[in-house]
Amino acid sequence: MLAPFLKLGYIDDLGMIFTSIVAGLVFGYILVSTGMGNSRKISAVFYGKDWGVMKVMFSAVVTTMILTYSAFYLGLLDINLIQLTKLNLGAQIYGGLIFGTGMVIGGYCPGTAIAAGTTRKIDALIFILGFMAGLWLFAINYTAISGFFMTEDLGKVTLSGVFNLSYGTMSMLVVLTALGTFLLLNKTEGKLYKKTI
Amino acid sequence: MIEAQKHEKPYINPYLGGMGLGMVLFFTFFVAGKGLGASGALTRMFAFTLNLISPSYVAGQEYLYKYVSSSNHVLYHWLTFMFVGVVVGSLVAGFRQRRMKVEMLKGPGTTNKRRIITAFVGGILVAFGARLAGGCTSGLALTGAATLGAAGWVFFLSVFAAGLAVAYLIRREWL
Repeated sequence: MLAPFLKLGYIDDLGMIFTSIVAGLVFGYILVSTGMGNSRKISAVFYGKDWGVMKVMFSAVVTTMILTYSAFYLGLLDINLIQLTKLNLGAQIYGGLIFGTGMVIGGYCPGTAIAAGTTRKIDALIFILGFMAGLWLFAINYTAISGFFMTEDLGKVTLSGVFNLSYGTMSMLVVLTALGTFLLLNKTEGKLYKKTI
Repeated sequence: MIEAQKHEKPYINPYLGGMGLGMVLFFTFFVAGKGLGASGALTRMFAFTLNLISPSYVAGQEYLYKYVSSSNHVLYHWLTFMFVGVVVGSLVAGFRQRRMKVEMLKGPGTTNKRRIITAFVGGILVAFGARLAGGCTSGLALTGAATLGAAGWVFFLSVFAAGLAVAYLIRREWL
């Protein structure tokens, strides 16, 4: 196997830092270019008014998946060495529900708030202040939270493991689902809420 | 569709932008075996700042202390370097596409005061949710989804479900 370079020791910390900054540059550039630095555009996804966020996310996922599994198939990349967040149903379901609530109220998620704040959007800077307050609230309640939600660690679970399918088949299914969703999204844009109140 | 404002250049095609983002994500997988992320950097900067102000306070907070007590400096991390990149990349795009106007973005039917409240409260909830779940839209949902991680998909679906439901309740703020 050739990659990931860092995990296999082919590059050092300096290479890691360089990679991270370059990736961040393009990440930020794309966020601003696609309108992900605009809270109106982000919140609109939850009203079915503008599926832009979903289009960006899904096409990113599909692109990464195709490239990653091609590299894996060609024997270049060891996918087992790619970081994977451990599954903890309570944490990710409750965390996701709280996060989604905050995202539609605040109009941003962390990455998009950084991009929007950099382009001098005042609401994004306030959002980041709120984010800091939220971190503090989480930290002071950590003992109670960790006992309640974070006990059931299921380890590094993948969808292919859950459905007992090979990586290739599972990613194919995900790509097909994403393509189907694309078609559906294009047809339904602006139809969820008939008119502005 | 929400278009870019008149003084700005139009937004680029979302599929094209997504493909670009996907290539970057693949690049980080291939080179570093890590993905994109944003909330981690904010958390580290928060722990760092608080530790500057009062190390004894941070030492008493189990969660924050984990960050400042590891062998590497709290800011010496994959995601904080990425943060620097994101800021510079956003600046370049912001200037090139004339999106640097100082403004408060909000729904047409709401006031600045209400928007200040929604932005702040939203930030609190997003931080809480991200720390609980172990990541945010980029680190957990996008990166996780692309590696077929169950955690990422569960998180993504929960975010979207809550977003759709709460959207209706607060429609005055955005529609």
